[in-house]
Amino acid sequence: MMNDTQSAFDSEFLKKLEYLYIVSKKIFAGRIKAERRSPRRGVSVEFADYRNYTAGDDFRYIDWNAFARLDELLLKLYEEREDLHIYFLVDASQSMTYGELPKLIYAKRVAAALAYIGLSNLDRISITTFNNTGAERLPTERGKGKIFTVLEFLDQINGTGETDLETAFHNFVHTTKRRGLVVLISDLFDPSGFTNGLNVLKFQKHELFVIHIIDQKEVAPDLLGDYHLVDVETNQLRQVTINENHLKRYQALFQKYCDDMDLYCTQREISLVRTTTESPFEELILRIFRMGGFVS
Amino acid sequence: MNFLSPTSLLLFGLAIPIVALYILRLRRRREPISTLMFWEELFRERQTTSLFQRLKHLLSLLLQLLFLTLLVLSIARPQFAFITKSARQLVLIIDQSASMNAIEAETDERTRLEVAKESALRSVDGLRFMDEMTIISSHTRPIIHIPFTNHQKSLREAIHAIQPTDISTNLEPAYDLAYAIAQTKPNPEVVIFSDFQSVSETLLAKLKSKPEQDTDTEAPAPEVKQHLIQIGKANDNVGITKFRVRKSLVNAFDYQTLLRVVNASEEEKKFNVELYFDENLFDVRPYTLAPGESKSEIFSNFAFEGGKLKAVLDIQDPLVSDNIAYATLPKRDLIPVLLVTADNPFLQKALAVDEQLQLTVLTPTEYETDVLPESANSQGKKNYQVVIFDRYSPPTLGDGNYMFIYPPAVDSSETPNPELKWNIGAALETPIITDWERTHPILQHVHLENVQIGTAYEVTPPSTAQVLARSFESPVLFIDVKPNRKIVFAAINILESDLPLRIAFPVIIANTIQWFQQRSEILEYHLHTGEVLKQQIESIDAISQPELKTETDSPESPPKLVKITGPGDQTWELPVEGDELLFEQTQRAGFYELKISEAVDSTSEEEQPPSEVSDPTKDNSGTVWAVNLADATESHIGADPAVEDLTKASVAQSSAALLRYPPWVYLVFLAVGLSVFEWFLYQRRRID
Repeated sequence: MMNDTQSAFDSEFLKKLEYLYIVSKKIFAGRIKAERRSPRRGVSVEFADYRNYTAGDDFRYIDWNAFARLDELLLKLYEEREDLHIYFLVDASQSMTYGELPKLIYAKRVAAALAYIGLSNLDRISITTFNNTGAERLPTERGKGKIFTVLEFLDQINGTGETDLETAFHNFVHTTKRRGLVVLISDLFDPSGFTNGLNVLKFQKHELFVIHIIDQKEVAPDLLGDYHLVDVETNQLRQVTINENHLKRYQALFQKYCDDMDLYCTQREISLVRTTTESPFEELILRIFRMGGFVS
Repeated sequence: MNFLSPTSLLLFGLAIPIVALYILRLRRRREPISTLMFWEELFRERQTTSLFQRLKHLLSLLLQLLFLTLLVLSIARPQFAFITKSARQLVLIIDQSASMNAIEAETDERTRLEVAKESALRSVDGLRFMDEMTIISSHTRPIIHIPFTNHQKSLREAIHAIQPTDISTNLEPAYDLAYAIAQTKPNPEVVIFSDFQSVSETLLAKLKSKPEQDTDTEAPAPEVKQHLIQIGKANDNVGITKFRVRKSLVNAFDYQTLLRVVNASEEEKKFNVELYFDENLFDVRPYTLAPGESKSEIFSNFAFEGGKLKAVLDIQDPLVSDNIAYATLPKRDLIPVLLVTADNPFLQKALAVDEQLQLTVLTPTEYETDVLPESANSQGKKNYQVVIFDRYSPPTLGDGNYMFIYPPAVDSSETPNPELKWNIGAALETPIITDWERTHPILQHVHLENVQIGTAYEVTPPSTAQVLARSFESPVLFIDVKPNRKIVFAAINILESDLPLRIAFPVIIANTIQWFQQRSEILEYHLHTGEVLKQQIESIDAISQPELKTETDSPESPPKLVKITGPGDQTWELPVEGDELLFEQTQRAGFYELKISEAVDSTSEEEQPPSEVSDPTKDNSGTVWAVNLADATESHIGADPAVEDLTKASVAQSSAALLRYPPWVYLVFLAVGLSVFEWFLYQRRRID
């Protein structure tokens, strides 16, 4: 359970943020810096492609040199530059408070780190929490100086309610018209499944990056004997007697759940990274950078 | 089924709190988890076995109640009739003979006896509850080492106490005893551990048919099962079957030793026979013996002083005991003999021939003036072992060995000794010797036919006398043996006969001297293993201590001990009681040295070792006996083929028998096992 006195952002954390930013710059060195280029063609200084001239096109973009050589009107296309919108969807359900280091704390740190790097890259950052009780949203922010606003917002998030991915993401897409990179940070423990919710995001043409946070005790519970298992979200009770066979079977089920998720994300070109709260969050950040899905 | 402690069944009441505790089980622990979705799915799969789930809840209670039942039953000590009825009474016979010392590859370079004892120990381990066992070893006579008992520790100790011996096989008495004992018990079994190398015809017949049951008893004797466990099979052995010493027929101061060696194997054997005299090798003879062949050889030219003789076969074979034989050659001391005669050259010559004698000749007058006053009662015993009176009768006669040759009649008023009042009658003219004791030692190798006798007289021997030769009219030669005195009486005047001219005369004189000395041509101090050693106390170390008896008899002298040192420096100390020493512990071959020492008063002189009686400056080497196996049948160490068939047909031993312990032990084991099983099930969450 989450410790109320436990703060997600201490001075040590802030030092790590700067460190991560510097490291991220090294990782992206040689690539296009700072900005994320849009796949759409537009007006900019960097040539992208040619296309045949059609009536109504701006004469200024006709490549006269090419016309002289080829006797054909070709229109020069330039890459359009646009600001990237990064939407952080942070799971704030009760299940995220589970663990010695609550998953929510871990999620906040990951979100803050990525947001800081995004702000440093002049991207537009927005953070939305979700559970079945409603959503809180940090409006779009831009610039490195907004990091404290982001941290303040993250710090006040409390885990409560149940997980309902589909409803939460429907609400999100209805209120977010501009497409962008959606970073989903959650344990994805939705009894109705994770696919419907992710499909909602995917159908809206958002780029999706899923950070799946789990606790080691969820992977391999050390429960043997007689228990009343209590679901922290629903307070539902289950009387069980657990033996080693049960544990093996549980682990098999959990692994199948993760495998299904991996397969789903692979098939839909969704970047997915899974971590346990035992793994230091900065390592996770670096791993995300190296994967190249977050900034490319 | 009965219970020795039925009141213990009240402990079944403990089932009530067990059931109560089962009902009032501790509440389950409450464990918050992030989601139930996996657990729900997991236990949804298991719902098909819900019936088993319900049953296993009860299984825990049932196991605990079963555990209680087993414990209570064990405390109540149940008795089952079938166990009591099937209890066996085992009689184990362990062959302790010399051949059981054979070491061969088949017995893993251990002696057969060790293997037999190991097998017997396995039989002890296989004893079942209520079984009983007794252990007999076939010694010179059967020895019961432990009566019927179920106490395995005592049985093992009894088996371990059985030591190897060099005695000859003597299985039959042990078998008879075992069978007699077994018949008195229900479910009897006789188990024989032996190499069965020498089985008598009678024992073989008994083994085949079993001894007849005693028909006098009212109840029929139970059938005795017999198991013959054969130990060892090798017969590749060579051994000494005879090693005896006698005085040389050629040289009075020499000995002759007869050595007989047999090759009991099925292969030709080449080896050396080594002779050691006082542990010094002095002769080696090469031997080559065909299978089954035996060879005898006589050795001579030994030292005059006597010593210990040992024959060793230089060969590696399974049985070592018969490769060594021992003999004792006593020191040949001269025998002091006093001849009291006026003049008898024939007698002097006859005595002078014997080189063993130290002859002193005195006239009757010299005897009466020089010798008689010094030995008033013991009559020269200290100085002369034999006194021969020729035609003379002394006025007094003490203890000792005397030969009277034609003594004159003595007036009863002149002598205090009634023995000297010979009942001499009328003179006999030319009597003819008609009958004589040819087997008596004095007349051995003697022919008295047609002996011409000029003068003799009638004599009436004492009632204790034994007549050795007689004429028609009267005895002419008799002996009279008293506790401390031996007398040979000749009623013929040898000077007036042709007896001195015959070969018989010196022979009679020599035989008489030997008879006085109780010496035979075959020397004493030799025994077979297992025989009882009989030794006159006074003759222990008699050669070096002739005065010992006098000192021993002194009432002031401390009590004496006979210290016996046997093979391997094993010692025994026996108190001197009576005139004769009887010693039975001669089961190992080797030298047994007898010495007399004073007993130490343990209360006052505990630390003082026993002191030798004799002057330490004197030779006190003691009396040495040689004990040998020297048994041809024992050297044939291979099993009797007739018995081999019986051993093959014999039922194999039951090993690690069931029901070895009382039933309550098994119940406790079951309860413990059940407890472990229940603990395992609980840990594996098979039960709640």
